Amino acid sequence: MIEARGITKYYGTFKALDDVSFHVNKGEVLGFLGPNGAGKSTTMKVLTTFISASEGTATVDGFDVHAEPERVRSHLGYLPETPPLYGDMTVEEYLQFCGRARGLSGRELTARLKVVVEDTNLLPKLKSPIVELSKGYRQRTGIAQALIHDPPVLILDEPTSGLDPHQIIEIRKLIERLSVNKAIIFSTHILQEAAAVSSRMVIINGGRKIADGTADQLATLATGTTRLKLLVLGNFAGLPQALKAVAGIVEVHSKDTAEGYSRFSLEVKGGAKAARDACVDVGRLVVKCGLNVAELAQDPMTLEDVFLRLLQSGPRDSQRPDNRRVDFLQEPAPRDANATEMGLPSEMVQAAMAARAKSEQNLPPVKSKSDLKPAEEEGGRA
Amino acid sequence: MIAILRRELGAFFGSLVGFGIIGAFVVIMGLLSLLLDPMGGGGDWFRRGELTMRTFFGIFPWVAAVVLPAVSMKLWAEDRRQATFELLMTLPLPTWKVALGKYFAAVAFFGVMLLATFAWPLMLIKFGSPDWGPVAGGYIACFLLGAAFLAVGAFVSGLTDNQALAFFLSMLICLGIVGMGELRPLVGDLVRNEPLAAITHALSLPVVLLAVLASAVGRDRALGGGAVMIGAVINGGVYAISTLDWSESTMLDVHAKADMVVAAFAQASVLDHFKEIERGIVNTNGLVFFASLIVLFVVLNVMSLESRRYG
Repeated sequence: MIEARGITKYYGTFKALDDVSFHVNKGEVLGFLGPNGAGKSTTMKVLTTFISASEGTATVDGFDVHAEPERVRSHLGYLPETPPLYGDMTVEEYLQFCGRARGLSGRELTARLKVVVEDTNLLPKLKSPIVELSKGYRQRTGIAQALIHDPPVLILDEPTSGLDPHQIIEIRKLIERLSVNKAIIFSTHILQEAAAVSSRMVIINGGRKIADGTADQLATLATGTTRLKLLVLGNFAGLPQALKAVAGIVEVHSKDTAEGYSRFSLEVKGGAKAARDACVDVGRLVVKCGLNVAELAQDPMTLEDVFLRLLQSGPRDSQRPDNRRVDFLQEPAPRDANATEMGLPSEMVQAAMAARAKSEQNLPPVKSKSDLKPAEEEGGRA
Repeated sequence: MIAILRRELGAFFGSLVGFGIIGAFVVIMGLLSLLLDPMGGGGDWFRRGELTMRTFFGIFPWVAAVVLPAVSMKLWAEDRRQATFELLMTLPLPTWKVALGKYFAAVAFFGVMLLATFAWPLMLIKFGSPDWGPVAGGYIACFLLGAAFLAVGAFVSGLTDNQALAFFLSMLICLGIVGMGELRPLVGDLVRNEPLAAITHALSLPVVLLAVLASAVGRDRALGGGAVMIGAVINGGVYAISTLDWSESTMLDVHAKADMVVAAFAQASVLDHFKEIERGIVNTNGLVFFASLIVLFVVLNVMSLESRRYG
């Protein structure tokens, strides 16, 4: 429904957009993420034909933004960053004006007006002059304006800015409801926003697209690793060393220790599949070391982490073959030939066991607790 | 286009400002028509003791040049300031339709302004039997001139997001258009007596004016200031040189050409065409003149708006 191909936009000598490409299908909600000034609004202005691209082009519902701008405009609804409102009109007059300017009239206009007013909960303010509306109602009037002609494509520039949490949830629900038979792009610089509503995200920074994918894909893309959280019962100084030897694990961070429990954060090279494999190995290792697993799971990165890491590194695209990070998305390389059948280097396990024996007396009363977790005892003690 | 026109008309009449402009226009026109005597009939209305619309039509160009920019200033500048400009430019309408919708709304509002002055002809009926030719001609002339001023104002309004700036710039241009006709005798004298100065002024003044306009719109003060200073130095210097002694032969040669310049000025003078129609001579010459002025500025307006897409 929407396809941008290599959009580049210069403002004078300033390159506001640099070769931005992406697509949005029908039924899809694309979250357009980026810090302020990244080029989100500029991209949207190109898609809506408000400005033209210096290089590259885009199609909306099959029509080229440069060749058939009026067709493009009739197929999309657009909410600019500031809602485009006439303060001297009432909400009803304004929406009627927008409908008429888009070719609606008579019964059709009345019917559409009713629908959008219900969708955006504007009924109580229908007869109010726009100048008297609160920010939330203004924003909703702006959204209603974009919906009045029931366009197949919706382009919303920060639709939830300035709204209170309750209103934000309402708008999210509205976007979800609308997304069934539309292609929607909405921009935001708030990560939770994008994650909550969109099926896919495009992140741009400094005018360049740096990532494109689902939240999980982006997390892996950002670091090339997946994070595991591990909580073990018992204290064993050699455990971090032993964990590092597990295939796929690239980093081990010891976190806090309290009430006999030790917490670790592990970075596993690769995506979700590699992380599951690593979980199995880590579970076995911990048990082999004579400790008990209290918790072992994937630790989803917060979007802030993903976002910041992506912004720090260069442009990256899961669809580009020349990308060095793409390797990490694929399955991990075959395991070391020297590894045991458990995937652990045997000498590391032996060293760990020796160290464990030395610190035996320091262990907390493991047995009583482990009785409560029979499932984790299945591996037996080393 | 009709939707745009309706919306703009609503904006004109939905606020007190619209009625304020109409009221101010009627009062100014009424007072000045009574008190001034540009036709030289011997004093103001009270002394003359006769009622005529000649003063009314005589002062109209000057009043319109000041009042009509107040009508046109908000046409685009207000949208440019708000995000509604984005709304208008992303409607499935070609830009010229949006521009025409706005322009026609302003013209319609101006039509109401003119209707509000019909008290004058009504007074004529009450006190006598007027000759309707000049009255009708006068109103047609007023309408055409006003429509041309509004086209200028709409164009200027589209250049800026500042309504006050739009008002002053279009007022200057409209006053300039009217003033050009009034300055004609002066220009004639200047061309005959100081030809070099006249040529320099004629060439440099538009350039300086354009630079000032560009700097005002682009907010580049250095450009405007520099243009004014360079213009002043060149014009002053040349004027000083031209007042020095000139030989008889070159003067004669220039005199013949000077008459041609004055004739060209007359052809381009808005006021001459205005007066012609006002006298009841509605010829194609005058109509084409005003129509082309209007078309020129509406086209400039559309072009300047459309060019923003490529900025």
